[in-house]
Amino acid sequence: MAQSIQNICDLPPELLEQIFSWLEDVNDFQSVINTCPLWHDIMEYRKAENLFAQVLPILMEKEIRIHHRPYPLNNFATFRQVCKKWKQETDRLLALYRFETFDCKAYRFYGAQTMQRFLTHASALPEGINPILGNWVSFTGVDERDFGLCMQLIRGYGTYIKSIHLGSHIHVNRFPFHELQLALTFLPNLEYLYANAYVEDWTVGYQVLALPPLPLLKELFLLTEITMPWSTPDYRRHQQLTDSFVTAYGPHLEILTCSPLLLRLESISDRLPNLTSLEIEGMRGMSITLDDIHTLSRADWKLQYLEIASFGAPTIQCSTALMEMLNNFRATLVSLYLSIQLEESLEPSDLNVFPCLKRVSLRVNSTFSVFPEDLRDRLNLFSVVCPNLKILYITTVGKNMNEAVREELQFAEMEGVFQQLQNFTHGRYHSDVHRM
Amino acid sequence: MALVRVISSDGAAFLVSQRLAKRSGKLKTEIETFRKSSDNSEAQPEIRIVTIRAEILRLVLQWLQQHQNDPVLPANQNEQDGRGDAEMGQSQWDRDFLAPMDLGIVMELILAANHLEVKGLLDITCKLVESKITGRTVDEIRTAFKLKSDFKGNEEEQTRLENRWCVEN
Repeated sequence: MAQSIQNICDLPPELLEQIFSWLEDVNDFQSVINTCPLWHDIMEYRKAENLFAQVLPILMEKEIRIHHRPYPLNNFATFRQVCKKWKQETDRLLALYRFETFDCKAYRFYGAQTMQRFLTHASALPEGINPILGNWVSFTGVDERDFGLCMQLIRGYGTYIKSIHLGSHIHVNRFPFHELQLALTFLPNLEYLYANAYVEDWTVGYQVLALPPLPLLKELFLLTEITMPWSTPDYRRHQQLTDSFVTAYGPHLEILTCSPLLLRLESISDRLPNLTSLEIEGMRGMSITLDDIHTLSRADWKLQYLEIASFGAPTIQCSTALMEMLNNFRATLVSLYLSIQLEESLEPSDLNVFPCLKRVSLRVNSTFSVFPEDLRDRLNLFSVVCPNLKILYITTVGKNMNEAVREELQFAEMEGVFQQLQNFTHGRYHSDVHRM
Repeated sequence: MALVRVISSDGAAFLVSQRLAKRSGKLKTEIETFRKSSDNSEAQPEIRIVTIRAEILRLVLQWLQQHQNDPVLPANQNEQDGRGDAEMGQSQWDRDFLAPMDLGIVMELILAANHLEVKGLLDITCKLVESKITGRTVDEIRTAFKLKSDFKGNEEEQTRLENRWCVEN
C-alpha cells in the first residue's frame, strides 16, 4: 500500500517543481526559494529568470534617481528577446514609466526625414506588429510643412500610442488647433497628452471648442507659452483652450499641468473630480494671484502632488492665504513644490499636520539683509507639521539675495532644522523626483 | 558588547553586534523600534527577515563585517560627487567576494541589500549585473544568466521586429 502523504514536503521533488512552476507571481517564487534549502535547490535553476522582475526596477531606480540618467531603451529591447518572463517584466515597466525615463531618440520625431524613414520601416512590417516600443512618441520639431507626414504616422499607428508630445516649449513648435483636433481622433488609447496648440483661425469665436473623446486620458500637460516672445500673449485664447480641454477630458484627468488661467474657470473643482496631481506653471506676464490661491483653498481635490510656479515665474508670498491653501490638501499631500518669497511673517504654526508629506522642494527668495533670529526657530516647526518628511530640496534664488541669508538657509537645512530627514540636496532641482 | 539576533527566512539565527547590524538602515530602524517598545533596556533584540534566506544573509553580514569601518552613506547619495561611487569604492576584497558567485546569487544579494538598505553592497552588486546586461547581445545575456529561449513559434521573430526601429535608431 502506498505511503500516505501528510505534508507538502513529503511530495517528491519533481512534483514540487511542477507545482512551483505554476506560480505566476515573482513574489511567490521568492517565497518558495526562501522557505527552506530543499525548495531553494529545487527551483534554483529558475532564479535568474524570475528574480530579474524584482532586480530590474532597482537597477532603473539607481540610474534615474541617483545617477540622474535616463535608462537606455536599447537595453529594454534586448531584454524583451531573452525569454518570456523577461519580456513580460520589461513590457510591464515600459507601460509604467514615463517617456522621460528612457534614453531613446528613436521615437522623438524632429523632422520630415525621420518620419519618412519610420513610415517606410513600419509599412514593411507584417500586419499586427507594433512598431512603437513603449507606446510613446514625441513630435517636438515638426513645422507646418511636416504636418502631413506627422498625421500619416498618427493615422497609421495611433492605436498603439498611449503617450504623445505634440509641440514643445520652443515657440514656433505649436500645433494649429484643427490639426491637434484631427490627430486626437486617431489616438483612442491615449493616456498622456502633452500639447502646445493655438487657435489659428482668428474668426473663430471664444466658445468652448470640441475635442474627440479620449476615455483613457489620465494626464494632460497643456503648454502655457502659446505666443511668440515678441507678441503679447492672448490670455483669452489660452483660457478658451484650457476650458475646452477641461470640458472634454476633465472628468477622467488625474494629473494636470497648466497655467493659472485654469483657476479662473467656472466651477473648476467640480469639473476635475479625480485630480490628484496639479502643477500650475507661470506664464509670461501672468503669475498666480491671491484670488487663485483662494480658489485652491476651496477646491475639493485630494491632491497628492502640488507644484506652483516654475523657473522664471514670480514667487508667492508666504501669506496666511497660502497656509490656508496648503491646509486644504493636508490630508493627502505627498509631494510639494513651491516657489516662495520668505518673509518675516512666515508662521508655520498656521499649518496643520501633513501626515503623508514626504518630499518638499522650495525655491526660496528673500529680501532680508539679515536673517531674522527667531525665523530659524519657526522653521523648526516644519519638522512637527511634517512628521514623515523624508526629502527636502531648498534652492535659493534671486541675484540680490544677501549672501549671509543664503548661507543661513543652507545652514538651516543642513544642521538639523529637519533632523528627521534621511537625505537632502542643497540647491538642486530634480524634475524626476516630483511624481511619487 | 550589545548583540542582536538576526533570523533568516529559513530559520537560521545569526548573532551579531548591534554596531555592525546598524550599518544596515533596515536593521538600525528595527533595533531602535525594539528599544522603544521594550521595557528592559538590556533585552537582546531579535529580528526576523522573512525575505532573505540564510546563505544570502550570511553573505550580507560577511560584507558588512569587512566594511564595518567605512563611512555610512545615505541611501540615495549622489554618486556624481565621487563619494560612494561603486567604481571608486570597489576594493580587491569586493571583487574576490563577488567572483565565485553565479548571477542568481548576485540578484538575491541585490534584493537583500536593497531590503536591508546596505548601499555599498547594493552598488557593487548592481554594477556587476549591469555589466552583464548593458550593451550585451541577447545570446551573451542568455549565456551569462544560463537562460534558454522559451518563445514559441514566431514569437521571438515578432519581438525582434517590434524592437527593430528602436535598435537601429
